[in-house]
Amino acid sequence: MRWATTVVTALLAVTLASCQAPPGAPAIANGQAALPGTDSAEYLDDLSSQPTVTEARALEGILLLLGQQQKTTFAEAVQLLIERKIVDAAWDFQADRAMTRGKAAYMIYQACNIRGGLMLTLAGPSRRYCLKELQYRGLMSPGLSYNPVTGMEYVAILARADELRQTGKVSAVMIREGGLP
Amino acid sequence: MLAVACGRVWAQPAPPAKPGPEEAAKPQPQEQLLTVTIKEVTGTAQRLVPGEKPSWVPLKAGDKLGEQTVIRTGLRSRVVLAFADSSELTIARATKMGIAEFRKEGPVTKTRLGLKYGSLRASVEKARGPNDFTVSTPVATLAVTGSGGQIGHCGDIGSNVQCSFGGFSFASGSRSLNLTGGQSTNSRLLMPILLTQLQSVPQLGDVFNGLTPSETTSLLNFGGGLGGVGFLPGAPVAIRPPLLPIGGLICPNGKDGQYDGLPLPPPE
Repeated sequence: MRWATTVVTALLAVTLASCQAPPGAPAIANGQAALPGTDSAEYLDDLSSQPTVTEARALEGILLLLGQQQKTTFAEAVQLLIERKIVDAAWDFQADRAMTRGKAAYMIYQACNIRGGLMLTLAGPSRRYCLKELQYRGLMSPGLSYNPVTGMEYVAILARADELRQTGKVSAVMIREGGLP
Repeated sequence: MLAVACGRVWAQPAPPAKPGPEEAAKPQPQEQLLTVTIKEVTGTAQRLVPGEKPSWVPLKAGDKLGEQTVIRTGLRSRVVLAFADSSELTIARATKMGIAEFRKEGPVTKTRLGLKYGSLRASVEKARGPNDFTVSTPVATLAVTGSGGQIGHCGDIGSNVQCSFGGFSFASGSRSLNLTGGQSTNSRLLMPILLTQLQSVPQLGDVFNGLTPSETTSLLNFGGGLGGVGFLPGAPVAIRPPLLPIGGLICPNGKDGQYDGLPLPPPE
Protein backbone atom coordinates (compact mmCIF):
# COMPACT_ATOMS: atom_id res chain seq x y z
CA MET A 1 0.00 0.00 0.00
CA ARG A 2 2.82 2.31 0.90
CA TRP A 3 4.60 1.73 -2.40
CA ALA A 4 1.42 2.55 -4.29
CA THR A 5 1.11 5.86 -2.46
CA THR A 6 4.74 6.63 -3.24
CA VAL A 7 4.27 5.90 -6.93
CA VAL A 8 1.14 8.07 -7.12
CA THR A 9 2.92 10.92 -5.31
CA ALA A 10 5.92 10.66 -7.63
CA LEU A 11 3.68 10.64 -10.70
CA LEU A 12 1.80 13.68 -9.38
CA ALA A 13 5.06 15.52 -8.73
CA VAL A 14 6.33 14.75 -12.22
CA THR A 15 3.03 15.89 -13.77
CA LEU A 16 2.97 19.15 -11.84
CA ALA A 17 6.63 19.84 -12.60
CA SER A 18 6.02 19.32 -16.31
CA CYS A 19 3.24 21.93 -16.24
CA GLN A 20 5.56 24.62 -14.96
CA ALA A 21 7.36 26.99 -17.27
CA PRO A 22 11.03 26.15 -17.81
CA PRO A 23 13.33 28.27 -15.68
CA GLY A 24 15.44 31.01 -17.20
CA ALA A 25 14.91 33.58 -19.92
CA PRO A 26 12.53 32.80 -22.80
CA ALA A 27 14.00 31.73 -26.13
CA ILE A 28 13.85 34.78 -28.39
CA ALA A 29 15.23 34.74 -31.93
CA ASN A 30 15.97 38.01 -33.71
CA GLY A 31 15.07 39.93 -30.59
CA GLN A 32 16.62 43.17 -31.87
CA ALA A 33 13.96 43.52 -34.57
CA ALA A 34 12.49 47.01 -34.20
CA LEU A 35 8.83 47.69 -33.54
CA PRO A 36 8.37 51.14 -35.08
CA GLY A 37 5.69 52.40 -32.68
CA THR A 38 3.26 53.62 -35.34
CA ASP A 39 -0.23 54.77 -34.40
CA SER A 40 -3.00 52.20 -34.48
CA ALA A 41 -4.70 53.58 -37.61
CA GLU A 42 -1.53 53.26 -39.67
CA TYR A 43 -0.72 49.89 -38.14
CA LEU A 44 -4.14 48.44 -39.02
CA ASP A 45 -4.10 49.90 -42.53
CA ASP A 46 -0.67 48.47 -43.22
CA LEU A 47 -1.53 45.11 -41.70
CA SER A 48 -4.71 44.77 -43.76
CA SER A 49 -2.60 44.40 -46.91
CA GLN A 50 -0.32 41.69 -45.51
CA PRO A 51 -0.92 38.02 -46.35
CA THR A 52 0.45 36.89 -42.97
CA VAL A 53 1.32 38.50 -39.65
CA THR A 54 4.75 38.02 -38.16
CA GLU A 55 5.17 37.53 -34.42
CA ALA A 56 6.80 40.96 -34.15
CA ARG A 57 3.86 42.66 -35.85
CA ALA A 58 1.37 40.66 -33.80
CA LEU A 59 3.00 41.71 -30.52
CA GLU A 60 3.01 45.31 -31.73
CA GLY A 61 -0.75 45.01 -32.22
CA ILE A 62 -1.25 43.67 -28.71
CA LEU A 63 0.79 46.59 -27.32
CA LEU A 64 -1.47 49.00 -29.23
CA LEU A 65 -4.50 47.16 -27.89
CA LEU A 66 -3.18 47.73 -24.38
CA GLY A 67 -2.68 51.42 -25.19
CA GLN A 68 1.11 51.26 -25.26
CA GLN A 69 2.24 52.93 -28.44
CA GLN A 70 6.02 52.99 -28.15
CA LYS A 71 9.12 52.40 -30.18
CA THR A 72 10.72 49.26 -28.85
CA THR A 73 12.39 46.02 -29.83
CA PHE A 74 10.86 42.59 -30.18
CA ALA A 75 12.71 41.26 -27.13
CA GLU A 76 11.52 44.15 -24.95
CA ALA A 77 7.95 43.65 -26.15
CA VAL A 78 8.15 39.95 -25.27
CA GLN A 79 9.44 40.72 -21.78
CA LEU A 80 6.75 43.31 -21.21
CA LEU A 81 3.99 40.95 -22.31
CA ILE A 82 5.39 38.09 -20.22
CA GLU A 83 5.27 40.34 -17.16
CA ARG A 84 1.64 41.12 -17.89
CA LYS A 85 0.91 37.41 -18.52
CA ILE A 86 -0.31 38.16 -22.04
CA VAL A 87 2.12 35.64 -23.54
CA ASP A 88 3.44 32.41 -22.05
CA ALA A 89 7.11 32.49 -21.05
CA ALA A 90 7.42 28.86 -22.14
CA TRP A 91 6.90 29.74 -25.81
CA ASP A 92 9.80 30.23 -28.15
CA PHE A 93 9.64 33.59 -29.89
CA GLN A 94 10.87 34.42 -33.38
CA ALA A 95 10.32 37.91 -34.74
CA ASP A 96 9.92 37.05 -38.41
CA ARG A 97 7.93 33.82 -38.02
CA ALA A 98 4.23 33.79 -38.89
CA MET A 99 1.92 34.18 -35.90
CA THR A 100 -0.37 31.19 -35.37
CA ARG A 101 -4.07 31.38 -34.58
CA GLY A 102 -3.51 29.58 -31.28
CA LYS A 103 -0.98 32.11 -30.02
CA ALA A 104 -3.12 35.01 -31.21
CA ALA A 105 -6.14 33.54 -29.40
CA TYR A 106 -4.11 33.09 -26.19
CA MET A 107 -2.95 36.72 -26.26
CA ILE A 108 -6.43 38.10 -26.96
CA TYR A 109 -7.94 35.88 -24.26
CA GLN A 110 -5.46 37.19 -21.71
CA ALA A 111 -5.57 40.83 -22.87
CA CYS A 112 -9.37 40.94 -22.73
CA ASN A 113 -9.54 39.08 -19.42
CA ILE A 114 -12.11 36.64 -20.78
CA ARG A 115 -13.55 34.02 -18.44
CA GLY A 116 -13.43 30.68 -20.20
CA GLY A 117 -15.20 27.37 -19.80
CA LEU A 118 -14.46 24.30 -17.70
CA MET A 119 -11.13 23.30 -19.23
CA LEU A 120 -9.78 26.85 -19.17
CA THR A 121 -10.87 27.27 -15.58
CA LEU A 122 -9.34 23.99 -14.42
CA ALA A 123 -6.18 23.84 -16.52
CA GLY A 124 -5.51 27.52 -17.14
CA PRO A 125 -5.20 29.19 -20.53
CA SER A 126 -3.74 27.24 -23.42
CA ARG A 127 -3.53 27.99 -27.13
CA ARG A 128 -5.96 25.21 -28.04
CA TYR A 129 -8.72 26.05 -25.58
CA CYS A 130 -8.33 29.83 -25.91
CA LEU A 131 -8.90 29.43 -29.64
CA LYS A 132 -11.96 27.27 -29.03
CA GLU A 133 -13.32 29.80 -26.56
CA LEU A 134 -12.87 32.70 -28.96
CA GLN A 135 -14.42 30.69 -31.80
CA TYR A 136 -17.36 29.87 -29.56
CA ARG A 137 -17.84 33.56 -28.85
CA GLY A 138 -17.63 34.39 -32.58
CA LEU A 139 -14.49 36.46 -32.06
CA MET A 140 -12.41 34.24 -34.33
CA SER A 141 -13.33 32.27 -37.42
CA PRO A 142 -12.95 28.49 -37.72
CA GLY A 143 -9.45 27.16 -38.21
CA LEU A 144 -6.75 25.16 -36.49
CA SER A 145 -4.46 26.28 -33.71
CA TYR A 146 -1.28 26.02 -35.76
CA ASN A 147 -2.59 27.82 -38.86
CA PRO A 148 -1.08 31.24 -39.57
CA VAL A 149 -3.17 34.37 -39.16
CA THR A 150 -3.75 36.62 -42.18
CA GLY A 151 -3.42 40.39 -41.97
CA MET A 152 -7.11 41.12 -42.54
CA GLU A 153 -8.07 38.49 -40.00
CA TYR A 154 -5.79 39.96 -37.36
CA VAL A 155 -7.22 43.44 -38.01
CA ALA A 156 -10.70 42.04 -37.42
CA ILE A 157 -9.63 40.22 -34.25
CA LEU A 158 -8.00 43.36 -32.83
CA ALA A 159 -11.09 45.43 -33.63
CA ARG A 160 -13.34 42.96 -31.79
CA ALA A 161 -10.93 42.69 -28.87
CA ASP A 162 -10.75 46.48 -28.56
CA GLU A 163 -14.54 46.76 -28.53
CA LEU A 164 -14.78 43.97 -25.98
CA ARG A 165 -12.24 45.69 -23.72
CA GLN A 166 -13.95 49.07 -24.00
CA THR A 167 -17.63 48.13 -23.89
CA GLY A 168 -17.75 44.57 -22.57
CA LYS A 169 -19.46 43.28 -25.74
CA VAL A 170 -18.95 43.14 -29.49
CA SER A 171 -21.48 44.51 -31.96
CA ALA A 172 -23.40 41.92 -33.93
CA VAL A 173 -22.09 43.07 -37.31
CA MET A 174 -18.53 42.32 -36.26
CA ILE A 175 -18.92 38.72 -35.10
CA ARG A 176 -19.47 35.47 -36.91
CA GLU A 177 -23.01 34.15 -37.18
CA GLY A 178 -23.88 32.07 -34.18
CA GLY A 179 -21.32 33.78 -31.96
CA LEU A 180 -22.33 35.15 -28.60
CA PRO A 181 -23.14 38.88 -29.03
CA MET B 1 -15.39 33.40 -92.42
CA LEU B 2 -18.29 35.74 -92.99
CA ALA B 3 -19.74 34.84 -89.61
CA VAL B 4 -16.41 35.41 -87.92
CA ALA B 5 -15.97 38.74 -89.66
CA CYS B 6 -19.51 39.77 -88.75
CA GLY B 7 -18.94 38.62 -85.21
CA ARG B 8 -15.89 40.83 -84.93
CA VAL B 9 -17.80 43.77 -86.26
CA TRP B 10 -20.66 43.13 -83.85
CA ALA B 11 -18.25 42.66 -80.97
CA GLN B 12 -16.81 46.12 -81.42
CA PRO B 13 -18.20 48.69 -79.03
CA ALA B 14 -20.78 50.90 -80.63
CA PRO B 15 -19.78 54.54 -81.04
CA PRO B 16 -21.49 56.86 -78.59
CA ALA B 17 -24.83 57.89 -80.03
CA LYS B 18 -25.24 61.58 -80.66
CA PRO B 19 -28.21 63.02 -78.81
CA GLY B 20 -31.12 63.71 -81.05
CA PRO B 21 -32.90 67.04 -81.06
CA GLU B 22 -35.58 65.73 -78.67
CA GLU B 23 -33.04 64.40 -76.16
CA ALA B 24 -31.00 67.60 -76.36
CA ALA B 25 -34.09 69.59 -75.57
CA LYS B 26 -34.71 67.55 -72.40
CA PRO B 27 -33.49 69.31 -69.25
CA GLN B 28 -30.52 67.37 -67.83
CA PRO B 29 -30.51 66.96 -64.04
CA GLN B 30 -28.10 69.44 -62.52
CA GLU B 31 -25.25 68.00 -60.51
CA GLN B 32 -24.14 69.80 -57.43
CA LEU B 33 -21.26 68.59 -55.31
CA LEU B 34 -22.03 68.47 -51.59
CA THR B 35 -19.75 68.47 -48.60
CA VAL B 36 -19.46 66.33 -45.52
CA THR B 37 -18.60 67.91 -42.17
CA ILE B 38 -16.71 66.18 -39.40
CA LYS B 39 -18.96 66.46 -36.40
CA GLU B 40 -16.94 64.60 -33.80
CA VAL B 41 -13.58 62.86 -33.58
CA THR B 42 -12.42 60.54 -30.82
CA GLY B 43 -9.02 58.86 -30.80
CA THR B 44 -6.86 58.40 -33.89
CA ALA B 45 -8.55 59.27 -37.19
CA GLN B 46 -6.86 60.32 -40.41
CA ARG B 47 -7.74 61.18 -43.98
CA LEU B 48 -5.70 60.66 -47.08
CA VAL B 49 -4.49 63.75 -48.88
CA PRO B 50 -3.97 62.77 -52.51
CA GLY B 51 -1.12 64.05 -54.63
CA GLU B 52 2.19 62.91 -55.98
CA LYS B 53 3.17 61.79 -52.51
CA PRO B 54 -0.07 60.93 -50.71
CA SER B 55 -0.01 61.55 -46.99
CA TRP B 56 -2.32 60.96 -44.06
CA VAL B 57 -3.37 63.93 -41.93
CA PRO B 58 -5.29 63.85 -38.64
CA LEU B 59 -9.00 64.62 -38.78
CA LYS B 60 -10.50 67.25 -36.52
CA ALA B 61 -14.02 68.39 -35.82
CA GLY B 62 -15.28 70.97 -38.30
CA ASP B 63 -13.23 69.72 -41.28
CA LYS B 64 -15.06 69.74 -44.60
CA LEU B 65 -14.67 66.71 -46.83
CA GLY B 66 -15.59 66.20 -50.45
CA GLU B 67 -15.70 63.31 -52.85
CA GLN B 68 -12.76 60.91 -53.21
CA THR B 69 -11.89 61.08 -49.53
CA VAL B 70 -10.44 58.08 -47.71
CA ILE B 71 -10.64 57.91 -43.92
CA ARG B 72 -9.07 55.44 -41.51
CA THR B 73 -9.50 55.10 -37.77
CA GLY B 74 -7.45 53.31 -35.14
CA LEU B 75 -8.30 51.47 -31.95
CA ARG B 76 -10.45 53.29 -29.37
CA SER B 77 -11.51 55.73 -32.10
CA ARG B 78 -14.74 57.06 -33.53
CA VAL B 79 -15.66 59.66 -36.12
CA VAL B 80 -19.11 61.14 -36.74
CA LEU B 81 -19.77 62.60 -40.19
CA ALA B 82 -22.67 64.97 -40.87
CA PHE B 83 -23.83 64.95 -44.46
CA ALA B 84 -25.34 68.02 -46.08
CA ASP B 85 -28.70 66.25 -46.43
CA SER B 86 -28.86 65.73 -42.63
CA SER B 87 -27.80 62.09 -42.86
CA GLU B 88 -25.30 60.99 -40.28
CA LEU B 89 -22.59 58.36 -40.40
CA THR B 90 -20.59 57.03 -37.48
CA ILE B 91 -17.28 55.40 -38.33
CA ALA B 92 -16.35 52.91 -35.65
CA ARG B 93 -12.92 51.84 -34.43
CA ALA B 94 -10.45 50.06 -36.75
CA THR B 95 -12.19 51.10 -39.93
CA LYS B 96 -11.07 52.22 -43.36
CA MET B 97 -13.71 53.72 -45.60
CA GLY B 98 -14.04 56.14 -48.47
CA ILE B 99 -16.49 58.69 -49.80
CA ALA B 100 -16.60 58.03 -53.52
CA GLU B 101 -19.51 60.30 -54.42
CA PHE B 102 -21.68 62.77 -52.58
CA ARG B 103 -23.66 65.02 -54.86
CA LYS B 104 -27.14 66.16 -55.72
CA GLU B 105 -28.44 65.00 -59.08
CA GLY B 106 -31.67 66.85 -59.63
CA PRO B 107 -33.85 66.14 -56.62
CA VAL B 108 -31.88 63.00 -55.65
CA THR B 109 -28.96 63.08 -53.21
CA LYS B 110 -26.48 60.47 -54.36
CA THR B 111 -24.03 59.00 -51.85
CA ARG B 112 -21.54 56.25 -52.63
CA LEU B 113 -19.38 54.97 -49.79
CA GLY B 114 -16.83 52.18 -49.69
CA LEU B 115 -15.83 50.09 -46.69
CA LYS B 116 -12.59 48.12 -46.73
CA TYR B 117 -12.70 46.89 -43.14
CA GLY B 118 -14.44 47.84 -39.89
CA SER B 119 -17.98 49.01 -39.34
CA LEU B 120 -20.24 51.97 -40.02
CA ARG B 121 -23.51 53.09 -38.49
CA ALA B 122 -25.66 55.07 -40.90
CA SER B 123 -28.76 57.14 -40.30
CA VAL B 124 -30.13 58.32 -43.62
CA GLU B 125 -32.55 61.22 -43.71
CA LYS B 126 -35.23 61.17 -46.39
CA ALA B 127 -37.28 64.09 -45.14
CA ARG B 128 -35.24 66.45 -47.35
CA GLY B 129 -36.01 64.58 -50.53
CA PRO B 130 -35.19 61.28 -52.20
CA ASN B 131 -31.75 59.82 -51.74
CA ASP B 132 -29.62 57.10 -53.23
CA PHE B 133 -27.29 55.99 -50.45
CA THR B 134 -25.15 52.89 -50.89
CA VAL B 135 -22.24 51.35 -49.02
CA SER B 136 -20.00 48.91 -50.90
CA THR B 137 -17.78 46.34 -49.23
CA PRO B 138 -15.43 43.98 -51.07
CA VAL B 139 -18.20 41.37 -51.16
CA ALA B 140 -21.56 43.14 -50.98
CA THR B 141 -23.46 46.37 -51.50
CA LEU B 142 -25.94 47.89 -49.12
CA ALA B 143 -28.59 50.34 -50.32
CA VAL B 144 -30.15 52.47 -47.60
CA THR B 145 -33.26 54.58 -48.12
CA GLY B 146 -34.59 56.62 -45.26
CA SER B 147 -33.44 54.22 -42.61
CA GLY B 148 -30.75 53.46 -40.10
CA GLY B 149 -28.56 50.57 -39.22
CA GLN B 150 -25.08 49.19 -39.08
CA ILE B 151 -22.82 47.46 -41.58
CA GLY B 152 -19.54 45.77 -40.85
CA HIS B 153 -16.94 44.02 -42.95
CA CYS B 154 -14.21 41.79 -41.58
CA GLY B 155 -11.55 39.93 -43.52
CA ASP B 156 -12.39 36.60 -41.92
CA ILE B 157 -16.18 36.51 -41.81
CA GLY B 158 -17.23 38.83 -44.63
CA SER B 159 -19.95 41.47 -44.36
CA ASN B 160 -22.76 41.67 -41.84
CA VAL B 161 -25.61 44.14 -41.81
CA GLN B 162 -28.18 45.02 -39.17
CA CYS B 163 -31.21 47.20 -39.92
CA SER B 164 -32.44 49.28 -36.98
CA PHE B 165 -35.37 51.02 -38.65
CA GLY B 166 -36.68 51.68 -42.15
CA GLY B 167 -35.52 49.43 -44.97
CA PHE B 168 -32.27 48.08 -46.37
CA SER B 169 -31.54 46.30 -49.60
CA PHE B 170 -28.46 44.13 -49.27
CA ALA B 171 -26.93 42.67 -52.43
CA SER B 172 -24.13 40.13 -52.71
CA GLY B 173 -23.21 38.90 -56.17
CA SER B 174 -26.35 38.54 -58.24
CA ARG B 175 -28.65 38.00 -55.26
CA SER B 176 -30.22 40.56 -52.95
CA LEU B 177 -32.30 40.61 -49.79
CA ASN B 178 -34.57 43.29 -48.39
CA LEU B 179 -34.47 43.91 -44.66
CA THR B 180 -36.77 45.83 -42.38
CA GLY B 181 -36.29 47.12 -38.86
CA GLY B 182 -34.72 44.65 -36.46
CA GLN B 183 -33.54 42.24 -39.13
CA SER B 184 -29.98 41.33 -39.97
CA THR B 185 -28.11 39.22 -42.48
CA ASN B 186 -24.61 38.60 -43.78
CA SER B 187 -22.84 38.42 -47.12
CA ARG B 188 -24.12 34.88 -47.60
CA LEU B 189 -27.59 36.47 -47.45
CA LEU B 190 -28.81 34.16 -44.71
CA MET B 191 -32.45 34.76 -43.89
CA PRO B 192 -32.85 36.91 -40.75
CA ILE B 193 -34.84 34.17 -38.96
CA LEU B 194 -32.02 31.74 -39.65
CA LEU B 195 -29.48 34.04 -38.05
CA THR B 196 -31.72 34.28 -34.99
CA GLN B 197 -31.86 30.49 -34.81
CA LEU B 198 -28.11 30.25 -35.15
CA GLN B 199 -27.71 32.45 -32.11
CA SER B 200 -29.21 29.64 -30.04
CA VAL B 201 -26.85 26.95 -31.36
CA PRO B 202 -23.39 26.86 -29.77
CA GLN B 203 -20.78 26.18 -32.43
CA LEU B 204 -17.18 25.15 -31.96
CA GLY B 205 -16.61 24.71 -35.67
CA ASP B 206 -18.43 25.43 -38.86
CA VAL B 207 -20.98 22.66 -38.56
CA PHE B 208 -22.95 23.90 -41.55
CA ASN B 209 -20.03 23.84 -43.94
CA GLY B 210 -21.07 23.57 -47.56
CA LEU B 211 -24.80 23.36 -46.94
CA THR B 212 -27.43 25.42 -48.69
CA PRO B 213 -29.61 27.70 -46.55
CA SER B 214 -32.58 25.33 -46.93
CA GLU B 215 -30.47 22.36 -45.78
CA THR B 216 -29.23 24.36 -42.81
CA THR B 217 -32.80 25.30 -41.93
CA SER B 218 -33.83 21.67 -42.13
CA LEU B 219 -31.03 20.65 -39.78
CA LEU B 220 -31.95 23.38 -37.31
CA ASN B 221 -35.62 22.35 -37.37
CA PHE B 222 -35.32 18.57 -37.46
CA GLY B 223 -31.84 17.76 -36.19
CA GLY B 224 -29.16 15.74 -37.90
CA GLY B 225 -31.05 12.46 -38.18
CA LEU B 226 -29.14 10.86 -35.35
CA GLY B 227 -32.19 10.08 -33.21
CA GLY B 228 -31.57 10.27 -29.47
CA VAL B 229 -27.93 11.25 -29.84
CA GLY B 230 -28.58 13.90 -32.42
CA PHE B 231 -28.52 16.83 -30.04
CA LEU B 232 -26.26 18.75 -32.38
CA PRO B 233 -27.77 20.19 -35.55
CA GLY B 234 -25.41 18.32 -37.83
CA ALA B 235 -22.37 16.13 -37.87
CA PRO B 236 -19.08 18.03 -37.64
CA VAL B 237 -17.48 18.36 -41.04
CA ALA B 238 -14.09 19.35 -42.36
CA ILE B 239 -12.98 22.86 -41.57
CA ARG B 240 -12.67 24.94 -44.68
CA PRO B 241 -10.39 27.85 -45.51
CA PRO B 242 -11.58 31.43 -44.92
CA LEU B 243 -15.04 31.93 -46.34
CA LEU B 244 -14.58 34.85 -48.67
CA PRO B 245 -11.88 36.01 -51.03
CA ILE B 246 -10.37 39.25 -49.85
CA GLY B 247 -10.01 41.96 -52.41
CA GLY B 248 -10.81 39.61 -55.23
CA LEU B 249 -14.11 41.11 -56.28
CA ILE B 250 -13.38 44.79 -56.18
CA CYS B 251 -10.04 45.90 -57.48
CA PRO B 252 -10.24 49.49 -58.71
CA ASN B 253 -6.75 49.77 -60.07
CA GLY B 254 -6.04 46.12 -60.71
CA LYS B 255 -2.96 46.34 -58.50
CA ASP B 256 -2.05 43.37 -56.37
CA GLY B 257 -5.68 42.55 -55.71
CA GLN B 258 -5.86 45.45 -53.28
CA TYR B 259 -9.00 47.32 -52.45
CA ASP B 260 -8.50 50.93 -51.49
CA GLY B 261 -11.73 51.61 -49.67
CA LEU B 262 -13.64 53.12 -52.56
CA PRO B 263 -16.25 51.55 -54.82
CA LEU B 264 -15.34 50.83 -58.38
CA PRO B 265 -15.09 53.97 -60.50
CA PRO B 266 -17.66 54.27 -63.28
CA PRO B 267 -16.50 52.86 -66.63
CA GLU B 268 -15.06 55.51 -68.89
